[in-house]
Amino acid sequence: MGFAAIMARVLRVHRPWRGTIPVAVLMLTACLLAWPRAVRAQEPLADEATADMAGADFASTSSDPLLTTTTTGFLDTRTTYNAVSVDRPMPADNIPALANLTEANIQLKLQWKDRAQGLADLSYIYQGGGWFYGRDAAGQRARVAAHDVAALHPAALMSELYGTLNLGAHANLTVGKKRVVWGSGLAINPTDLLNPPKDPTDPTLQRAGSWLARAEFPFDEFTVTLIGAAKATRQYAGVPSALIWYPDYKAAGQDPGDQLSHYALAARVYGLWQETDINVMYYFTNAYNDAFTDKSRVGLSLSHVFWNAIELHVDGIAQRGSSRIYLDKLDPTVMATGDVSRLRTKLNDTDIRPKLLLGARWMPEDAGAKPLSFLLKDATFSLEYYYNGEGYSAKEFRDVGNALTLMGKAAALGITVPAGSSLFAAPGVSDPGSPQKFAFEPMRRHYLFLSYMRPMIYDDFTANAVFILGAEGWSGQFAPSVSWSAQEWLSLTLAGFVTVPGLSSQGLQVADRSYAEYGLQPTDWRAFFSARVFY
Amino acid sequence: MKWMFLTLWALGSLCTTPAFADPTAAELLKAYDAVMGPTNFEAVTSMSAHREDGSTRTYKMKILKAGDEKFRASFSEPAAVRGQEMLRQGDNLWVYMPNLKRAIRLASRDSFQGGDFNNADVLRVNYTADYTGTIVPDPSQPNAWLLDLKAKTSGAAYDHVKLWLRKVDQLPQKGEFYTASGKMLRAAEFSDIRDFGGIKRPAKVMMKNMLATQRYSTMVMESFNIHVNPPSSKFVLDDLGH
Repeated sequence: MGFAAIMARVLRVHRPWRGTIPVAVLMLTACLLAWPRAVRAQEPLADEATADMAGADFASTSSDPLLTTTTTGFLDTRTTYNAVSVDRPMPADNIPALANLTEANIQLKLQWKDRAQGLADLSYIYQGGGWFYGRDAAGQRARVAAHDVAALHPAALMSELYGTLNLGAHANLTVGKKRVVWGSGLAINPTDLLNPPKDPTDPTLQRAGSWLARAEFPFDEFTVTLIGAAKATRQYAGVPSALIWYPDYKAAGQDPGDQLSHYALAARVYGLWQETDINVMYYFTNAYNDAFTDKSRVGLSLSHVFWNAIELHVDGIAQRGSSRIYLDKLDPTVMATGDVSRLRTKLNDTDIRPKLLLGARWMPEDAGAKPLSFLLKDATFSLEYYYNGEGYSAKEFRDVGNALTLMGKAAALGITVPAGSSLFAAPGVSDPGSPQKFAFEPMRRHYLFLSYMRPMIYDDFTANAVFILGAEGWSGQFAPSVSWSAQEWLSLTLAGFVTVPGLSSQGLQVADRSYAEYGLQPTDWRAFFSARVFY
Repeated sequence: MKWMFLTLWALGSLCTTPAFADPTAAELLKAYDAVMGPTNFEAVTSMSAHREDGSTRTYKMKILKAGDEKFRASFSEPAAVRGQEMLRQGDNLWVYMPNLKRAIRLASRDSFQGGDFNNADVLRVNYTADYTGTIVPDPSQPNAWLLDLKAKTSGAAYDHVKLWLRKVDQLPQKGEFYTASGKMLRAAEFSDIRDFGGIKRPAKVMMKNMLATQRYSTMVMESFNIHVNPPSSKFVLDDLGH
């Protein structure tokens, strides 16, 4: 009986909690760590918290107020046009050609001297869309009547809500929902097994964390961190009602769940050695954000600046087996029941499958003469290569095409089959976090991320471009954008997402047509305009 | 006779003692560091970046320094960067991005918040450690010492610096900052000498960008307190964002 089995047994012993009590305990503790002090500090707050330096709270000196509050946030409205294609393997029915998403966000931070802090990062999201397209009875492109789409419902989003208690200079305890990221990757973090994934075209979009309890022991040149994280198995309007276990009852519109314990344990040692950031991580997960149970993984991240100009980083994790589906055995049972768990045939495989990101970031100091300086001045370039050990081989990729062809034929015959997109979704992810502009779900093994950002390319305009390229087949996603900081508090952005078709010979053959990996989704291109007001 | 000899010896000694001698380059560097980057301090400062079109962007931040190697800056304005923090530990420099929920490494020669200061100008004021200097004559500035500085560490902000310090009180007056090839990158002017409760120093530094001559940035100290003793736990990477 190893560590995994012991943990599983411990958690099972406590199953009578059935999820709801742990949720209440975690949320209450997160609030209590900061709020009681806040309430007691209300009297001086009126006078003292008006300090000019709200937000600059690191230096707690005798002159600082007992309680410092910082409030910030934004109002963002994003209108997107999708050039919907009905010719793709993935269904287009629920993709609106025109959509709007408005997010009102508040980030409240409470700092009680050096003793404790609380943070809440909350959003309310209102969205809607229209102009749906599909195929009519004759197989021609046609407008589909407006209908309810779950992904377009209004939502409340609790990105973070936690309290931290400092237990002396070298220990602190955090409880609540928090995004903890240890990896050094910019576009993605292979070592991040705890949080909703970020958007490689705009990594700042994803702020959502996971429900956890963290003990951290920071010292001058190293830090030790221990984390226990719980999956939110039920949540309503962004507020979880159950953690770790699914409740016995079923809920309308919610994942029916299973009998497993959904949790993750993580340990990390950070060290600063030879001016290099080194993180060594160990994860033990059980049905947490993927289908693995009793799974151990180890991760490593490094970051170092060379020649005082170029930052190089490594962010990688090693695991045995794969939690993704393999479609070489798409049997009638799966077709009939939609139970894709039967297709996870390599869960207990002993082959080591690393996921590794190698990257560089460069900010040229001397932009040189025109016209080069126009492009280089204050610009940031980054290039990252990602090896996805869980990616499909050429043969496995062909199996995906065959399966999609088969499913298309079955659907044409009136046989109900699981939607193509549900086949590739990560199992059991209950919290997708902030609505992303682009979801990176790699099917193959080799990827490149290139990004360029040039602030003030003209006036207060910032040019930005991200290119995600699948190195097998050379298909990709190109995402250029221009932002204008019209005022210090207002940013306007125009952005596009264009699919690069790549080599048809390396594409996915579905019903005698070839699709690039990035050509499976039912949009040819997308463009959006967003306005964000900061306060 | 003995008393006469002793008196003559004492007078002679007084005449030859370098009580009013010119300071050495090392002493001037030390004097510069003592006012621009004292061992410990906590300051509230605002940096305004003035652009070619005449518009300005102002950042407000709190800076904390402990010893020669530890700096931390936290931004409170504008709202778009509120919560952003920068940390220096020796030659290591990070910026904490609240939206990324993590810190990323920076190079010390990167621009500081897109202004005309670079990160080391603000977060690495330790010229004694970074440069070797010589005093060179400058007939155009008879009331100032001209220090000609050459970088001796890779972490130094510039390869070559010319620094003028006032002879009357050894406070900095102006500076010029060059690449190794001799190209002038920036020029600084120090002004508004103020007494910050125990330390007299320029409250304002104007940095001109010599590659884009219409651009300049000013850094104004609103408060500067040297009577602080920050704990080392404030300069740990994992404390950023707390």
